[in-house]
Amino acid sequence: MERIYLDHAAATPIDRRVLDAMMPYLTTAFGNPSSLHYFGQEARAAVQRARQQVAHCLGVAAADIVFTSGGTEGDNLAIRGYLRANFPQGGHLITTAVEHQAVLHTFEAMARQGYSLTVLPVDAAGRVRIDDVAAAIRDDTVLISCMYANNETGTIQPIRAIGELAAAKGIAFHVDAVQAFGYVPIQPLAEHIDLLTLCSHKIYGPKGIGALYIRHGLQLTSEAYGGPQEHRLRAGTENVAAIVGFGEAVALLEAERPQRIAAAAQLKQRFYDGLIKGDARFRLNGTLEGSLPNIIDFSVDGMESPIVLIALDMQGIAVSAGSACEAGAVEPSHVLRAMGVDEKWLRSSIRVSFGTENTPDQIDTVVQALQQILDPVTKRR
Amino acid sequence: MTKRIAVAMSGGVDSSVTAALLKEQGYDVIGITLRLWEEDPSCPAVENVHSCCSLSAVDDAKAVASVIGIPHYTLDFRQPFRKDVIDYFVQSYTLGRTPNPCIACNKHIKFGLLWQQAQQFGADSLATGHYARIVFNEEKGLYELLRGTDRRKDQSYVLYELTQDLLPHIMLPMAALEKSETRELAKKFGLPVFNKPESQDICFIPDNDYKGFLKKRVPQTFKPGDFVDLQGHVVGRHEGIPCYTIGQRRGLHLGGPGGPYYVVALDVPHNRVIVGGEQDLFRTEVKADDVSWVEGAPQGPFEALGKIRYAAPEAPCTVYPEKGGLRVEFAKPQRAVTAGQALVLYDRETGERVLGGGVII
Repeated sequence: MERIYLDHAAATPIDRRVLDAMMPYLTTAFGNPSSLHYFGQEARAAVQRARQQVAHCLGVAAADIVFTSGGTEGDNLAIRGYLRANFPQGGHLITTAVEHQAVLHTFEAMARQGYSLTVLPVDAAGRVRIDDVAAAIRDDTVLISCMYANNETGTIQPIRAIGELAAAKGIAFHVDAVQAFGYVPIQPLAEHIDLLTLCSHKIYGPKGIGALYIRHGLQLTSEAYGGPQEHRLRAGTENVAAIVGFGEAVALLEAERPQRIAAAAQLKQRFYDGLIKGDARFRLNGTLEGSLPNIIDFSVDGMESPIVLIALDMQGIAVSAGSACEAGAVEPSHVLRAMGVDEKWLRSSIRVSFGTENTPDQIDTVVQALQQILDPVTKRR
Repeated sequence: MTKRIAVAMSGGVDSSVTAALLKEQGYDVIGITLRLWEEDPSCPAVENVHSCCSLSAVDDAKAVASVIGIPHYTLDFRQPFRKDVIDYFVQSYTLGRTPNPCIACNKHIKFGLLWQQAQQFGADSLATGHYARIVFNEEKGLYELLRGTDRRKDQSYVLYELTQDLLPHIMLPMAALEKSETRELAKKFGLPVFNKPESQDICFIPDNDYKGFLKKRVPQTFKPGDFVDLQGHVVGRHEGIPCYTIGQRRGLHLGGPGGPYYVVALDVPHNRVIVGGEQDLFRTEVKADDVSWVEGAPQGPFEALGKIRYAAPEAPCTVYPEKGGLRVEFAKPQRAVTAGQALVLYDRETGERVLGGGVII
């Protein structure tokens, strides 16, 4: 069975060139970057090179990049680390209703610890209104966090506008850019972003690695006690091979992003035209414009998403039902709820996310398979 | 094309071996685990405390599926399970009945909604780990539902609502196995659940405190009232009708000269629990409604073996089909016939074949 993978928002394959860059550090160049000798220095240099690759892509200094185990750790370190270092006594926090669990649950934990929390609503497209952000800011607001683009719908948030608001008031601004990074050229300095979470396995790098950009001068407290690695912000021996892979993936991304954007946009349009456009059985969640070119999210009439997902998987087609997923059981998406999506469409959302290895033919195959699954007449039996 | 079989995997030994056997036999097997009830809210997963009651059944099933090498999916059936099983369970108690939630689950959830959805994703059959046999009788041109070979494990009682439209699509590979063989097989297949203990009586009440469960949901029905003997004398106070079932002797706290007392009837309209001596528990006539027949509805009265609860021995009886229900005359009086339990009928000659049954009223 030919398998078609359309779940790149969950994980991408590792680019061959990334793997090649990693291999020496999984085999011969195995040293601990903290070691004094040749092996240690070899590894240390590799980590530093990767740090520069990431920094270059963002237009920031290498010293402002800290490697983490991925998006969740980056979000936790940014939010908790910043608050613990600067406002341990409390303060007002602002985030949005459509954040990833890594952000939302962290803020909820902060609220239980005594911080005051405002969770901003979104419009029908899933976008935060800048007026709402302005209205939510109080004298004691210490941190605003907003994702760059949503992991379920791909909706892009008005990051620069929020950044300007935050900067004007001297409030720290954290952005989870895990999904957006692959398809948006992010410039933290120009966009007034103080803390930026990135992750490797959405951009053809390995899993278990990511980075947090921390604006120069911002104080954070580390999550774990131990050695002085990563500017004392992340104790523990560096995952050298993964860091090298991530650095390489970022370098490739920087060079190839325009082509990736164009190719994904074409596939997305083809999928939309082929399946959703003009067919009342489907509802596009979010909008085509103002969203990531590699993600499309839609709901189907009359069949819950797990059934569609399993039926597709049986045919070798891998898609997803948004992100909220607990031990495989699909919960209605908090993102779609926040967008005010009607109950009728809430349990039947499907997220298709494209990647560099997908072809127009594959899109046509998937569109056809979906139509068959939903058409009771042409069903298997 | 290889036959595709959806296996309902609970994470227990029986359904795990079911999946492994079918895979070994060369079928295209997919494992499905149903998420049926909310975890105990007394141990919530806040503040990152590792929770004792996380989805361990789902995790077990997933672990088994990866050992066997089959795809596995979890379906969220909490809503339908609440409506068709839990609500039914609770409501039965408020009506003075003692329900069998497994039968409701088999009917509405496993062989109902699950089979319906399994077809939608292309399954040809549904398999479960029940101990019972399905055999096609060429002579009659009908599928028969027979007891499992291991009588002690036989679960045909909870399957009496299977009918001819479903039976061709259901596979019960445990049919011919003894329980000890099942565990041996689980070991042989390397399944991590081979020594998992038997599941408890009611899956959605893990602590077995069904009174506490009901009290949380229908506190208003726990209204104290009178214990009344068959002569109409008040002999004590009861704690609310859902606390009692027919034949119950323990926990009545009734002393006095008339004892020992047994619950012989639940009088919901007057909130009274009727008690009597053991001899008052015996009845020969049993009526049932919500009747279902495995091989089609019979004409006229016939002889059969009847079973009035899961653990009761089957006993000779005469069955009188009635409009919308049935009436049964047992040859010998039956002890503690309980409304809400299933009356299941087996063939008189061998006692092996399920004819059908209904809910005792």
